[in-house]
Amino acid sequence: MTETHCNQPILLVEDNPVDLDLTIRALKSQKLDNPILTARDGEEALTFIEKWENGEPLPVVILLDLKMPKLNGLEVLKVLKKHPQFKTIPVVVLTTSSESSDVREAYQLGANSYIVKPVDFEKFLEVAKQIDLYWRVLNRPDNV
Amino acid sequence: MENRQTISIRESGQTVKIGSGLKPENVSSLIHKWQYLIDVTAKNADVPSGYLLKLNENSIEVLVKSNSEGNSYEASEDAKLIYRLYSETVIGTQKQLLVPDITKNKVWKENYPDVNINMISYLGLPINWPDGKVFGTVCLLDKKENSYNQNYIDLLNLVKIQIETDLQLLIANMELTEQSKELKQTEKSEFRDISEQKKPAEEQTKSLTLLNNLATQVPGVVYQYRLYPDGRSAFPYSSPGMWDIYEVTPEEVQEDASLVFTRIHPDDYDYIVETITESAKNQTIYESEFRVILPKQGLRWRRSNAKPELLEDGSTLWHGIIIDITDRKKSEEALSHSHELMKYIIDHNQSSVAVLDKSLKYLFISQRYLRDYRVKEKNIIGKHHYEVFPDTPEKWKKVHQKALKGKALRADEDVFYRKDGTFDWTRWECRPWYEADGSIGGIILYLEVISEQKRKEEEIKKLNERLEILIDSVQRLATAQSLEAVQEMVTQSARKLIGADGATLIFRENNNCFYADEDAIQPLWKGNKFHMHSCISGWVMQNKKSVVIEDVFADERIPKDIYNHTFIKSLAMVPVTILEPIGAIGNYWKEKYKPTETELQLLQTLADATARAIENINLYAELEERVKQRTEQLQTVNKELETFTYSVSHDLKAPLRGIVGYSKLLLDDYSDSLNEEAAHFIKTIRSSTLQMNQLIDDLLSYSRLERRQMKQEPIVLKNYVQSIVSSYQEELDNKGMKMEIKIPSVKIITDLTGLSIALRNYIENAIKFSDEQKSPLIKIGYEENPESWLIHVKDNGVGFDMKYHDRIFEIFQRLHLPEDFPGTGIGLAMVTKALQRMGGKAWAESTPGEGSTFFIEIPKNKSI
Repeated sequence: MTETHCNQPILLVEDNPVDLDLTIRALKSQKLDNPILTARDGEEALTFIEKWENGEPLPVVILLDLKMPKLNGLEVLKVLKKHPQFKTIPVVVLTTSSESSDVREAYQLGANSYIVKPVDFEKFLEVAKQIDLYWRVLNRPDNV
Repeated sequence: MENRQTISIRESGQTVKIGSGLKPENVSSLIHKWQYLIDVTAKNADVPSGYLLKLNENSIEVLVKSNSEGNSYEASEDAKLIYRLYSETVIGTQKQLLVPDITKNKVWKENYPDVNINMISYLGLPINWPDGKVFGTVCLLDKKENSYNQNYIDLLNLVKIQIETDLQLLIANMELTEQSKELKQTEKSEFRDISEQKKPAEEQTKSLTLLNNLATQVPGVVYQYRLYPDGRSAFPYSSPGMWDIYEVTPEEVQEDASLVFTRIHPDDYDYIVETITESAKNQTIYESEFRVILPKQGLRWRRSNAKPELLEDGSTLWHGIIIDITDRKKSEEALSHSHELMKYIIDHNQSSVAVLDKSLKYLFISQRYLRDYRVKEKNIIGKHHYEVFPDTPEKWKKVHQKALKGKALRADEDVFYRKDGTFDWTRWECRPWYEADGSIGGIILYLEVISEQKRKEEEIKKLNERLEILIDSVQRLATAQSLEAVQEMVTQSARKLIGADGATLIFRENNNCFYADEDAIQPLWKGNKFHMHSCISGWVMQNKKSVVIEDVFADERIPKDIYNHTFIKSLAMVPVTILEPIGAIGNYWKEKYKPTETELQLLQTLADATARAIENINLYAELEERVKQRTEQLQTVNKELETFTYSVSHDLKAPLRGIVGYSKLLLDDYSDSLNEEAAHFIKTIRSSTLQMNQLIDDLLSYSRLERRQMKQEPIVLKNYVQSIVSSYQEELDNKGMKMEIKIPSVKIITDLTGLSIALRNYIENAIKFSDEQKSPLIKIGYEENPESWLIHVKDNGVGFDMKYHDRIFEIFQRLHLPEDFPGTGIGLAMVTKALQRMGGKAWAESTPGEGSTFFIEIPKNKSI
């Protein structure tokens, strides 16, 4: 993990408090030092755009739930991936839905990965590891 | 030399009478001589027959025939014909004719097919008068093939020379006699009678004897008949044949002929007297044919010929003969009867028949002929064909000419045009008919007027065509799915069906008649509406019956102002009825026309089919509407179900994750603070929750299966099964299980996802239930049926009781405790569901303790 990345936060968009807590714990268990920012619905997630425009550090990855109050995950994804500046931020859809229509649409809108939330916490840890690996690979110097 | 031609020689031939001045003994002795010559020649040549034939004006007569044994040719008419043909050839060519075998001679055989082939060979030579004119022929005939060697030919030539020499002498003798008689007549005519009386009695007796001798050889009687000026008559001389002819003796009538007259048939008596008187008055040859009634013979026919001679006392003396012609008369009567019979038969023939002679004059006709040709004159017999039909076309004249040349012509169907421009269909034949001698005697015309038959044929043909149109229309109407299609079809078919100039389809709309569609030579009222009371279609619908109007402008029901600008002169209209009339079909003609009953029926049938079609379309529309409603309902339900399952998957699982997650954290982070029992409880909570998670997952898969899109793909079955099995290979190896795949290299077409679900479930089951076995073995096999592909997965695991074989395929049905064999009871239900969707079938067979076999049956050519 490079130095620059250590300061960059991870944005977690999740309405369910249990999932939110478990996801944070799973990420922490992977010894990730990156600060974790959270948004509890789609609307709140989009408020980050203004913050980033005002110079706040961009997240290394956005973990996005789909089913949320107000704006859902796909709508958030749509806005993000159309943003000229922030469309390059990697978005990993992390959701309970394994409906193929959701998967298809998420990828069509520009999601970088689609992960179904496992019920088993051990598997959840695995997922966290994957996410870590994922953005590490994604941010290798030759990919910047 | 005219007198030569008057020589007549009887066919029976021994003796002869007499040209004027030619003494009979001259000819008689010649015939004897020639008879001898012919006999000798035939005998020497060893043939059955020899003949001397004489050419007369219209016939060839047998002058002499050999008396040799086996000469049997005289009887047959055919035989006469052929030796005439032979001798005609000899006369015509004036050459020797040798026919060794007529049957081997193509020309003779084909030209004279009726020959009596017994007359096989012929050798003949011409005989001529001294001045070169034809006398006749001399010939030899044989019943077998005969080439007549040169000796016989020489012999016959000698006979020819002899006969011609004799003729020369005869002529010379005759001329001499004639000259001396003329001399006598000019010098001593007034004494003639006296000089005859002065002839020595001896000489007279001698001459009479000779005459008698000669006369006995003649059939019939040779006589002299004298009619005195006072009306008396007598037969001064008559030969003994007088008895045969009149049954009187020469003596009885020598002085008075009246006895003879008593024998004459009363009806012929006057005729005889008249004829005699006329011959006497004009000194012309006496000729008569008459009947006698004889005491012994009864009614007989006689023919008499005699030459009159006017005597000095005014008497007339006839020299003549009378012969019996009864046989000839009978055959003439028979002939006349057969002629009458033929006339009768033809007259009453049911077809047109005309028999014409060579010059195309009518001989016989049937009454039907007069009718068919519409001949007004009743008697056209004897008239020329072209006189009866002055405008006979060239074509027919040619036909007649060809027939007269021997060619029979016919036509099965031909148009016969009449003067008035009408025509008839005829079937005719024109062929020659033949005379007895084989020459063409004229032609026969057969005619049959087949117009009626032809008309019926045409009618049937037309009806068939119309029925075809009708059937086609009815068929197409039956499958029509829109009112527009029906309208178009109906108007087109209605017009075609009975060849109208226009057709309309009218629908009732409340109190209006709506002209929905039309097919016509000119626009009518398409799109217009008329009130029921001002429109003929309204009348048809209200009265529920069809209508035919021959003249629209003469019918009160027709609104003239509406029809004024149209082409319509006549119309026919039929109602279209579903329970009540809902419309009408109209047909229109620009010329006056009255459709037949059949045509109206055709139109009504079309109207009925139209009614059914419209009924169907209404039903169809109703059905479609219902299907649409149902579909909408279903879609709503589906949508709800989707939302439901989505919620289940998302919201039901979230709490599970909390339970599982925090139990794990509890175990990991607080294991020191938990005693063993507490740790066990937490583990149990966790595993129960995981099981619940599995249940939710399976349930979701099951529900998803229902909504899944099917996709048919061809695969190589063996490869596909192997690829699925390979994902279990590690597990199989770990558990020490063997897997056998026995599938031939076949390609099948199926829904891959469905097949995969079924195979995976079966394999997983087999693994699960074989776990405890000593040497677990799973076999995957294949079978092909005519209609389907069959795949089975067989294990040697625990098996199950067959009484549960149905239940295991139902959802949530389990046969085992979860701690023995874990599972949600959804797997086989998914297989069933998947195969139901594929149109196939899933089932199992088992023996507890020995293992189970699970089957998948996939139908071939199942389009889903």
